[in-house]
Amino acid sequence: MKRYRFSIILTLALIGLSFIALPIIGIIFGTPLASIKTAFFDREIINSIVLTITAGILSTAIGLLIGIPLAYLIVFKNFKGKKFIESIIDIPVMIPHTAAGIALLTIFGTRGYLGKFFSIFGVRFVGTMAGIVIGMMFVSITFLINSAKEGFRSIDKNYIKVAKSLGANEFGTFFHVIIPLSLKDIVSGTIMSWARAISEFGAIIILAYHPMVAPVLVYERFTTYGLSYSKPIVFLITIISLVFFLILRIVSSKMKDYNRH
Amino acid sequence: MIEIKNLSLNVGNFKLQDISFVIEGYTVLLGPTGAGKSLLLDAISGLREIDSGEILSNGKSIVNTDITKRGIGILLQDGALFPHLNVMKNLEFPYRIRKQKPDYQIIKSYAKQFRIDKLFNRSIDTLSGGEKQRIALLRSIITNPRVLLLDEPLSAIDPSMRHGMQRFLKEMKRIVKIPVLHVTHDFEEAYYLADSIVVLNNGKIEQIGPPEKIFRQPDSLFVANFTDMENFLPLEGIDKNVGIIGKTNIYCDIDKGQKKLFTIRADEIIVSRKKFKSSARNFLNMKVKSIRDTGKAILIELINDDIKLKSTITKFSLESMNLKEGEMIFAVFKAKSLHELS
Repeated sequence: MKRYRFSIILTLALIGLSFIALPIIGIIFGTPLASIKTAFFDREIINSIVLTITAGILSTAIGLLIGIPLAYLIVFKNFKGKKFIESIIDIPVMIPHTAAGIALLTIFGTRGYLGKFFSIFGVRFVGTMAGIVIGMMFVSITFLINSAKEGFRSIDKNYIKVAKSLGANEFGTFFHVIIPLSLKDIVSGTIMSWARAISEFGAIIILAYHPMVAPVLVYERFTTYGLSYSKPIVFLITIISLVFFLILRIVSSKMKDYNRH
Repeated sequence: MIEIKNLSLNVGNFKLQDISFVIEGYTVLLGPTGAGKSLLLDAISGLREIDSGEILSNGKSIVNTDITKRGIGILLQDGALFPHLNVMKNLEFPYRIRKQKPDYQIIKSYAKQFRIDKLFNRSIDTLSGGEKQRIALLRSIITNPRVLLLDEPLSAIDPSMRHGMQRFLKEMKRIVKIPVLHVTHDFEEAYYLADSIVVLNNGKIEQIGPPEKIFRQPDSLFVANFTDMENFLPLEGIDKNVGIIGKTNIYCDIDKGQKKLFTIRADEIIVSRKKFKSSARNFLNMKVKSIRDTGKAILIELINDDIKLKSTITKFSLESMNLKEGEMIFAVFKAKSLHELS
């Protein structure tokens, strides 16, 4: 009976794994070698991949800079409307990403408040890398903030108590105790956030169709030339992502989790 | 010296009320769970604002001084050593956080006395509970705080190691001349370590005094119960210095017509087969109801028609008396050993 029950679990698990792995295997083994070789020398493809990775890194870095303090305030400070703010933070993962693009265009477009403000400094978002970064950041920052919140919440408050008694002010406690103790969660959130950023299509296509990030280029090649022309880009971005995530997961798994025993 | 004067603090439905005492030498704050001990510690350390009262350090108020500048060392239940730093980096933390150069001479000299000088490069998760506490203690005293607050420092330590740590704390008292406030609910621990005990119950101080006084002369029924007082005698005065319970007369400090509740420790009642010449005036003829070996001593339960008494004797005394359950015997105690509860 036990064996029978386990077989059911194993079958369902294998179906789950196949559902995720088969399309990836399909891309890896179903892309002709000659077209991959050509893709390597296709400047547009290489540029779009470099742009995607760079914009992903930039959006995640800015996300860290503004997301971590926000997570800190939510976890360690008491103020009215905290639950409401937490709900706002979750919105980007709930709304359709094309809707997110429209919302961003309203604010960061040439007629939007922030668009006008940043144009004073010569920064424009429509059809620029800045727009891509903004689009990526909007849809990915939630993962970062929520992971950081989880990390901060799991810290034993006694560490903070002791740090203060040893002379650490709020800044010192934040950098020398809170951040190191929740680093694993922050790194995990950073990986998730970057992953979400580089895969973004909906918000970016509305805010900055050009310069083309990999997902937009895949879409364009597919709609213009068909499946065989879009496959090599998908192959390259899949392989690069796989290698990146494997490295990051290994690094993250080697980090100590100080808060969960 | 830290002086707490009329400190009051409300947190939800719980109140710390009119707390006044002095932290000098080794003071133990004793009380059951929920008495408000940790809250009081938070108030002294500056983690919580107080509603009224004063906290004075050498006569100067530190109520409005930020926790980072109060100069108060804290040792918590599990030491709270930072797990991302090794032992030496934990010890350097108080210096580095103040942008000071660590004083390795002080660190090494104390470390030797605390017997942790071989652990500098160890990571925290490889240490025993006792080692963690000694390192955490050193970390909290190297910057020479005004007072050291120990919040149940031995409760997370394996019971077999606890006595060793208690001995260590007693030794630390000698090495480090910093006033200590040690919080515990363990009376034995308090008795062993304290110069002075403050008994806290339900947000109020029940009694302050040296351990012997708290142990033998509790001011209230709560303190008597909390310190495991074995015998309670409600007496009515029938003459000067004579009280009665049922038909049993007991010599004690009482006047005719007064009703008083007295207590007496089991180790102040001796048992004897015969009456003998003694300054003790109370010789009560009682039956041995039970004899129980508690591991530390022999507990004898005595009974007559009116009262029950408990007496402790040594195993050697039990064997030499050849005492058996059901036998009649004299319970002997002095009138002045009976302590009146208010």
